[in-house]
Amino acid sequence: MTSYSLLETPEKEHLTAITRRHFLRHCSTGLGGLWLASQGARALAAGGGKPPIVHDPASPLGTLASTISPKAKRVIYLHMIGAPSQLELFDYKPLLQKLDGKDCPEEFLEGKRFAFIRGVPKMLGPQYPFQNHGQSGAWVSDRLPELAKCVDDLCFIKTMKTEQFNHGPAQLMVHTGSASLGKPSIGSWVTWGLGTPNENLPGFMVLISGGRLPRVGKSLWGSGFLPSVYQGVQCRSVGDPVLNIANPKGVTRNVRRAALDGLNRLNAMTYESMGDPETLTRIAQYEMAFRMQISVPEVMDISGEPAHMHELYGTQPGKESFANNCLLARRLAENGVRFIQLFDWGWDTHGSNKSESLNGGFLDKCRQVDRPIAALLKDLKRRGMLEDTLVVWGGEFGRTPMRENRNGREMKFVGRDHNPNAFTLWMAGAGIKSGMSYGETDPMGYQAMENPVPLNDFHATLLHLVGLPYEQLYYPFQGLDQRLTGVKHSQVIHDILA
Amino acid sequence: MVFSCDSLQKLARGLPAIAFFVVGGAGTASAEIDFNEAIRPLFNRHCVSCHGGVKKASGLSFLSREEALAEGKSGMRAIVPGKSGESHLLERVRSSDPDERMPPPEHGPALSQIEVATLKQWIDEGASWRDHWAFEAPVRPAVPEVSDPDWCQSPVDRFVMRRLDEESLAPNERAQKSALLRRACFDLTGLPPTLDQLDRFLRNDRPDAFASMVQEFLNSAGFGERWAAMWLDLARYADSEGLGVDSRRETWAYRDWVIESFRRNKPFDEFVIEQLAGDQLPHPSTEQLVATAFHRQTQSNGEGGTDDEEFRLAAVMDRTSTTWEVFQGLTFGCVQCHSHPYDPIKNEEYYQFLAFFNNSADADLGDHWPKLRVPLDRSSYGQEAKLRGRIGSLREELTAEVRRRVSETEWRKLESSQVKASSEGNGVRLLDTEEGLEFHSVGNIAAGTRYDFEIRVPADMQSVTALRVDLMPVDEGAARHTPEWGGVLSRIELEMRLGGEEEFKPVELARVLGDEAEPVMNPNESLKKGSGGFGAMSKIFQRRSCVLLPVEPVSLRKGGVLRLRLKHELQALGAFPLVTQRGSLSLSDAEHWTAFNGTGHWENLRTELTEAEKAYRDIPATTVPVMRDRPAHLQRENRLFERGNWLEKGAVVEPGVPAFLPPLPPEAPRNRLALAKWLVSEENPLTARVAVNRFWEQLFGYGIVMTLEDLGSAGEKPSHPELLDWLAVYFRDDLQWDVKELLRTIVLSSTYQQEARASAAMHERDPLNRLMARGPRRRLKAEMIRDAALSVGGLLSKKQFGPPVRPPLPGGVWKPFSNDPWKTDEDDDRFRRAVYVYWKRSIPFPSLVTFDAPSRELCNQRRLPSNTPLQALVTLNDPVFVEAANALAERMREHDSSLVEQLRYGHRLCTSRFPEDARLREMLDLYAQLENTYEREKVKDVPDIEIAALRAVASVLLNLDESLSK
Repeated sequence: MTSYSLLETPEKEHLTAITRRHFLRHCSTGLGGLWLASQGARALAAGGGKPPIVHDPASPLGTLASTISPKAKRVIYLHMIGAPSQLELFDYKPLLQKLDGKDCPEEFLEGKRFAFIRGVPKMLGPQYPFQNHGQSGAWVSDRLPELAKCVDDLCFIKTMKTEQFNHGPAQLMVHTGSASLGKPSIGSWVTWGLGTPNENLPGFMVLISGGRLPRVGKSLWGSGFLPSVYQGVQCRSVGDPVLNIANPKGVTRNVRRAALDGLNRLNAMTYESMGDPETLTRIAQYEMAFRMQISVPEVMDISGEPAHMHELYGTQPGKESFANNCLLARRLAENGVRFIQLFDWGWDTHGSNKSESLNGGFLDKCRQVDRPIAALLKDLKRRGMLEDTLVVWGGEFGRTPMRENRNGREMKFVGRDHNPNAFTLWMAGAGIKSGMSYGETDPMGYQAMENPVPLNDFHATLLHLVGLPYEQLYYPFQGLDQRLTGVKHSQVIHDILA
Repeated sequence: MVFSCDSLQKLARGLPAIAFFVVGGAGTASAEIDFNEAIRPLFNRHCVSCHGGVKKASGLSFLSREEALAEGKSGMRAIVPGKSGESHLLERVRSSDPDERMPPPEHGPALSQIEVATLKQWIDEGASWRDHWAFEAPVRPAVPEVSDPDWCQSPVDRFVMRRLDEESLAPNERAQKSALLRRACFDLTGLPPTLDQLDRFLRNDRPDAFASMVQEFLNSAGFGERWAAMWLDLARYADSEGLGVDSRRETWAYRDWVIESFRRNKPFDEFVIEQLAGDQLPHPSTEQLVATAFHRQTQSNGEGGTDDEEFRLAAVMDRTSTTWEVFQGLTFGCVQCHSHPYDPIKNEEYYQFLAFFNNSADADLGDHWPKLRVPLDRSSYGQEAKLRGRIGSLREELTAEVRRRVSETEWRKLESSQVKASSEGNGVRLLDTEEGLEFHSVGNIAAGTRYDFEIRVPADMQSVTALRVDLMPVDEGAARHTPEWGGVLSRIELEMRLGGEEEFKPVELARVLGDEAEPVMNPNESLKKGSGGFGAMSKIFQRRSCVLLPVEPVSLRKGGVLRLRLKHELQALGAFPLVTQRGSLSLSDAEHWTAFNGTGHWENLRTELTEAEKAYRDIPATTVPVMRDRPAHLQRENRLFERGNWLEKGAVVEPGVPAFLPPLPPEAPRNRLALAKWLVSEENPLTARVAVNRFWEQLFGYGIVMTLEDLGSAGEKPSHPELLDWLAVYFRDDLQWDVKELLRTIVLSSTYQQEARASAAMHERDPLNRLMARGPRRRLKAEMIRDAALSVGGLLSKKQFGPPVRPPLPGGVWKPFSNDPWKTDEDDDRFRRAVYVYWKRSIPFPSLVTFDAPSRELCNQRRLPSNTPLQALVTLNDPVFVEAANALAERMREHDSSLVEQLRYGHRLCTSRFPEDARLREMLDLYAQLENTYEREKVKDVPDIEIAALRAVASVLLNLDESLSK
């Protein structure tokens, strides 16, 4: 090009060297003081008081030490969207079998609100046979044969309770501690509280299967009033694993590197003239994006896993499936992602049609998750990772011991209505007492009877396990020190801790 | 009591709560303690969580002087004015006994020595109390003397400089012209300045050069779009309904109304009144009704099995708290369950305020009823308003006449011995009451239930001219505030059998007369196929009546029998069959019904109505949900909720405003219009302050009160209290709420026009630029990032208004819960401004939300800017930004054949200035590096290395920190 003669090559090289040196000097060390000075500026900007946790704005995901020694370094949370029936999986109720087909006793209906049940419904016995498993003798139905082999690693909580009986608000309750929108999710709290060991990956990643997004969508992994860098990043098994992670057509990695080098130098010049620390943060973020472009596709590509792994999990590379997501969860965990959230859609077994019934879709759902979950537990254990990984499985509420009679009529398929009064959740791994069951429901499996566990206690326990005492994890917003556990007094369930 | 300044400041550094007091009172430490600056923050910090609005432990609260000075349950007085020695409070906060000390060790640290000393001094000085500053009406402050009056172009600068003088700081010099124009252009229009605008400004040396550019920006079409983006966050505007199913909801006419209101500079008081109560203005115009969609942006829940009343109330509560957040800058939601923890708002006052919104007709119904038809052609607005007015008054007149006749008719009561009831679906039984014959459902309510009533008409009735069917709640007392599921008569059929005959013959019904002028469904639908008809949809609060008029009076010989069939086919949300659970039947032989039914005056009105309705329907229109109140006889009863739970109601309340603010005028009706007028009245201390604070924040990045959402006592203190009050009074009184003039005043101040550059020391001293010793420098907002990229690429469409557009999306994003396909716009619509992009709450547009746009489920007062790697991925790789970068490269190539000129041009388009030599060299170097890389790598799909390299440079230019900032 003709115009290129403006600069002689040696002069140009000299200049490049100078700016590069300059940039490196400033960005790696000399500006530490400035970063420190602007620490907490954002928190101040958020108003109210000062939050207990302050990140370096240039490295907002940098690891922070927890105040108590954590049992769990990371969390894998498996949420079965739609609320799986505890009465067909883990909460065995022989008496309910005896009452099958009988009118529901009045005392169960008094003062209760239901989503779909009208008038006097019939009782519905467990639809599948149960058996004791493992040394712990845990009851598991025949729908989960593989998971049944892992029961000695699990701790069942049979008496989870929630306040919401519609899906949207109930899912929010589980993941943000509040039925209304706009609160940070568990993963955001944890990532904010602890940072993440691998800054080349987002600290909080979300994987979805079952063909549909949960109802309230990204609010389930939103950061609410916490800075948006702590929101969950949804990964996809089809298309870019993370939005816009791939370079556009015709832009290779080296082209991008050259472009970013130029961009960084120009931005460093801007910083020198304007003095705005945000410019430095921006340079750091572009560099992290560049690293993520390698690390995210790498970690999300399961095609390199050995055949026996695919056999173990039942995975097929390139498909959207819960099995693939379980294998990905292990890979993300290995690569230092702090909070890994799986959502699997399709568990809302009302009996209103075949796919949403206990004698239809439920069978498929169980088949789809049984092997992968067992594989994940075994795989983590084999790698010694179950010791410091907390695995959680659950839904947003439980299901009624009554058969649903939508519109007051008997339905063609068999199903159960929503039940916020009792549901089963299990945890495994780091800091959890394995091979135990906590809490008892009544003989119908309708109400939590002994040791009920409200969601805020579950949240407090989860935070405790990752090394964040719930009282100390607050963020001042709208005149209140906001907590995952809300304003209520909460308690860590010490009985289930190892 | 005297502290040395030095020690005071040292202590204060650890005590943000009283830092302001120290700064404000520099050198006057022994002066009288100011309650609001020193004492209230101390109470808020240490005391009110137990001794405040939520909990009044030991009967003691620090929310008002009266409560704080009263005897506690212990019989002791916490505060005895003038006598610190007798004040129990001091004893407790000083105590070293952990059982005695306040706050208790498990609740928080002890008060510091300086805090105790401050408290003591305050008590000894008489424990004077003042309302929180923001609750006292703003008074125009005197404009202060400053060190450099020449710098000051307006009182705004005087207040800023006064503070700088106190801090011994000088303002920065004026910004470079190009930087200044860029700042003002983005701030006022949301777009970068064009090169023509830049050239004209740079060439113009007249003193009013900047002012004339500002005038141009204020007049531009883009002004409305830029400021609408701010307001739509507050209004939680979205194109989908939210929670549950999140289906598409047609409401863009409101978005266009906001854009037009800003562009046409609607005075802010009118802007407020029309949004809150446009429907209650006399003869509201189309626009005034569209404005009320502000409070119809609340979410609705279409999830199966959800209770419409629960989510109707959720919307009403959202309207209540959003009104407070947007116009009063206070958090109100917490008062739902208990009195406000810090501010003097009582629990019952929440429900008094909620009552303003609790009588609206909307009820979380699936189709977002009630809606307005908004003509697509604005020139038809006049016609719409005229027809709507006529239709409304005809319906009112007819309904009033029906109600008059119903109440004046002597209805013939029936007894169960005269009626035989049967049913399909759930059961039915009859009940004789003093009021007459009732029917009740039996057993589980079942979908598709039909009731049949065979009525032996009393022998003395010559003919039947009308039948009356009433639907009642089972528990009429409770339903007035907590309704039951309603019933809809999908089909009404009447048959007769004369004495001695076997078969029933159909009786033709002329019409069903309902009891409200604007029902959800036309009662006459009960006579046709389909599931709609007369009824209580979907909840029943009180008795509902309809009258069935046969075409001819039914003459019955002795022993004649009428058979009335009531069919129910509607179900709410696939879960609740809308079947009448309780009703009554009666007959009339009054002749006036026949007259009413026949030709003449009433029939003429009905004909006119039908014609007007047809003409109205024929106007091509979109729809928008609007506010409308229920008629007086169907009003809901307002009650407290116990502990915030809507299923447990407490005492009856009337609409009203909290006592800590000025009262409503005594003669004013208790409706939304009165409320809106009260908000913009001279007496309201908050509205003008909250508004100017918001506009200031948009221009400077931070409000004068940083917590836009909380001007209450837990919010941040204003950095410049007198400036805030001056602006508030100026905006309200001098400018008569003229928004553009307010913005012009601020933008033309020297404060705004300062250079943004600052030293590291200055950044350390004032990281957030609260003192305004420099000009504002901020990252662009989400919408501006997209619009600027399209604009510099020469792609931006100038088309305004209309249905939301769907630009290209990265793959895999669009997985809506309900059927709602994303059909990417192929024409220029893909390049429309961000404010027009389809806004789905559960899947917000990725490139906007990555730059901190909210998903708008709820009112969002402030976007906190973040700086993340995902943002870099958007502006580097998102298809829209790639398209913009390529277009920019093309523009650069077309501009000049010289690379230097191309780079200078591109840089100027993106940053509004020419690069200095060092930057230019850097860009040339970058170009060379890219060209080399392309050559070396022989990248596929890249036939022309020069173009590819220039495109990559263009992408870098779009991604410059300067391009992303203003």
